[in-house]
Amino acid sequence: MYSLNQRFNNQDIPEDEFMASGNSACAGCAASLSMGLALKGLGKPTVLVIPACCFTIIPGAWPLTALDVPVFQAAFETTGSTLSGIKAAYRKRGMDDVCVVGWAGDGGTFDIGIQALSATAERNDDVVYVCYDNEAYMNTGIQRSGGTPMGAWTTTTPVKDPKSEPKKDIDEIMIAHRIPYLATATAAYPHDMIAKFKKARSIKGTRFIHLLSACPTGWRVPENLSIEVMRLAVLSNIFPLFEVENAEIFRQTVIPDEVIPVERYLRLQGRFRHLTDEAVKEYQKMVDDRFERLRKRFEITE
Amino acid sequence: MKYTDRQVHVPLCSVSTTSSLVNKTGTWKSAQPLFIDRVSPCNQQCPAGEDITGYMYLVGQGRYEEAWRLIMEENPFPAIMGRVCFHTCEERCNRTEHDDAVSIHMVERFIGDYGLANSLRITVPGPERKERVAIVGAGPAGLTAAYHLRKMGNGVSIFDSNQKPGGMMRYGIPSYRLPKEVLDGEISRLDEMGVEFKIAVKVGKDVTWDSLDNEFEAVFMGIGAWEETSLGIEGLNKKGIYNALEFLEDINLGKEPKIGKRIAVIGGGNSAIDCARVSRRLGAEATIVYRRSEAEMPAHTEEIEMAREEGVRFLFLASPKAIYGEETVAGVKLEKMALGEMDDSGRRRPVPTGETFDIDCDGMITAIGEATRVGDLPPFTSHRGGVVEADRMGQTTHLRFFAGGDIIDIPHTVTHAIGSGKRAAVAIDRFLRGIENDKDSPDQFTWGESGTINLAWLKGTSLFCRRNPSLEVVDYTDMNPFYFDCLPGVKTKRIPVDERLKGFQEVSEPFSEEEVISEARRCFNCGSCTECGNCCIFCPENSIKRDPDGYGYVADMDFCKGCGICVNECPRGAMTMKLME
Repeated sequence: MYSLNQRFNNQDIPEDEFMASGNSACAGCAASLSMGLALKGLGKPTVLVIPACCFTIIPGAWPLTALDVPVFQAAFETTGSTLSGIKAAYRKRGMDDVCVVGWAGDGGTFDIGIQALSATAERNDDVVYVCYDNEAYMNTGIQRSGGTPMGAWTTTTPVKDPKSEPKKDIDEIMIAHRIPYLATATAAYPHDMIAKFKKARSIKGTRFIHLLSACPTGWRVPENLSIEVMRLAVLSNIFPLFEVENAEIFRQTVIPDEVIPVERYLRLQGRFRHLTDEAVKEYQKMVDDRFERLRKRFEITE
Repeated sequence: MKYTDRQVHVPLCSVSTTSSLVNKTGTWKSAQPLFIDRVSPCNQQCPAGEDITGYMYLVGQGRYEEAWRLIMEENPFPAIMGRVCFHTCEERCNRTEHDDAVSIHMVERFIGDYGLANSLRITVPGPERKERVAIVGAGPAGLTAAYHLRKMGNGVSIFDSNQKPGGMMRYGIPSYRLPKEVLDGEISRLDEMGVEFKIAVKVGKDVTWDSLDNEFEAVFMGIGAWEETSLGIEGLNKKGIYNALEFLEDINLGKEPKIGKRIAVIGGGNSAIDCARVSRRLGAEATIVYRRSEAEMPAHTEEIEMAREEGVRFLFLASPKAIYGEETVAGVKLEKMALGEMDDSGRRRPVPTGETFDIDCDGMITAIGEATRVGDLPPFTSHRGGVVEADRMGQTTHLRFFAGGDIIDIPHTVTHAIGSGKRAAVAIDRFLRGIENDKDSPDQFTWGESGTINLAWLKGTSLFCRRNPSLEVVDYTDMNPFYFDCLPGVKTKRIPVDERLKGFQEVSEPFSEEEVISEARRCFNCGSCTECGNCCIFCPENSIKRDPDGYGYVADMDFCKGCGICVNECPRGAMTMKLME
């Protein structure tokens, strides 16, 4: 494979496939792509726990499944506790090498599942919790969630009254639990994402991975731009890619060559179309302030 | 117990047991991705029709011989071309919008030199067909036509009135730009291919045009433009006055023309620059006198820059009126010019002001343009002022006669001559085989307005895999620049000026192998798949797979939902979305 003039060497991407074609995600869904990449990083043996979210249906309606690993469908609020239970069961049966992975949306993590997640993290159970964050309740029809960013349109925050509160900072909440590993990742940077999943698998204790996952339907972007829009989120520092070990070592894993204005990210999406230039400026300030808080903690590498 | 064991006979809860592969999601789509090969801007504008992106790909992998063979499909003289072509390809390079253009000519020169150093050969079968083609003029156009016709299986005889083949490449270009051993090396390959050379035979004098017409099935005329346009002032017969062609020919034959110590070169084209730079090498001071300003100069900017480095002076907006001196030149009277309206060439016209001034010189070279010697053309070709009338492919009104190079209406460069020779070879081959040009016209394989033909596309036999070729041109907006790092290009190094002025040593130094590879890898390979794998990695449906039968990828239309991510993430514009009916 020839990619020597390219920024990334795609030869590094594992060839294993644990997700088959024929899934029922919408065209251009970043969540289905993220799952494929995550499993490339995690490998087998892995067990997934999926609460109510888009991913309940993406692998296929019963009796179909696109996933080549066992999946346990949990109730909306119980991802954390189900993970703990399944891990305990495997350990009891002498199968401690099984990686138990929760895969929940932003609604199931930021809002409905936060109690169970917090309890799992507090017990530091040996599980991986992945939140694929598409920034609203997309499966039920684009309702506002705690993960919805400020200013965004959803069906419950219409254009004349868009969401006025900023996005809940789930990363800080999880860092406050002092878990051994936390990372943000996105499928627009597959090499970075796979490396983080590999690393997560090698660590004991509660690991939390926050994925930004574009939803062309809910974000009002053309399907072909879902990777592009996630890339712009990283390049504009709206969704910086970093990892945190034991709430102590902070490391930015993808440093943009040039930070772009948030306007480019916002203006690509229909859900932000109503934002005035004034609002975009405010948004820029909010993003800059948050990144500045993070940046101070990033370990200086190189 | 195995964790993957799904064979639960009495399930406690509902368990999925069937693969989603039964769900053919491909029915959802309204548009489908297509792997295509688009034309890169460099390829599109190459007057010789080379597949630049193709050989850059091969060079980047160190596959020099294959790269050489890929160039040789189109152009028999890569080592010459890498040196003398004014590489307009680099001006169109999409990389200029990213960082610096790829130094295409230096890579080509390296490949050409690699071919010479390793004595790479093109093997052709003996003439398959009894028809023979006569080529008149062994310049770049004639030699290229001969090469391609020979490769297509025709017998070829090539006539030239000079003592050695090469035409303007030998007698017009000084050896600091094109060393003679490179020229000889590249031309000798034609000899080995079985092209019959009839050297020092002047058609029209030693052999008549009529006898060629009778003896050969087709004739290609590439006799070039060997008549210097006269300045039209008095006193041009004084000693110390040369015209550019005589002067350069003398130099290239190793004679020492008797010029003075302070030379005025009249003209603003590449020949004027050559004459001035040669004069500097002969130890004279040289001043170029041009009637327009620098912006209007037809000479290539790099040439002007190198002339400046070598101490050539420029005098703009001046036109000679009279020459002083009795027997030898003792100065020139010049008239000041001003710039007026645009002329047909899109440049501002020089307008006389009436004001005159003198410059002191003891030698003068006129280089204001060359034209075809009308008397050298066969009596039955129709021409306008020495420009032979020919169609796009070079066929003249006398149907068995074809024309190319400086005698037809194309820019007078080696590269354009090579392109015209190739076009004529295609036309002659089709003419001999009785293929009518209207049907299945080669037009559909031509790139760009200049009508360049890429033979590998025409025949579908490129060494570099070209699937689904399309004539669409890729520009920077079709690419995904995110995937390319910004890397400054390797700069061409020139030998120091004092070294240059000592003789006729080649001015630009070759790239090292590492530099060539790094330049070739900087190439975006616009419009062609390099198997980078992005389409495959970013497909959310997992429906793009490596082509099991060969090069590239295939999309499984059973599952592709037509999102178009692959097209957007293709770094080099080698994919497109096609709406379905």
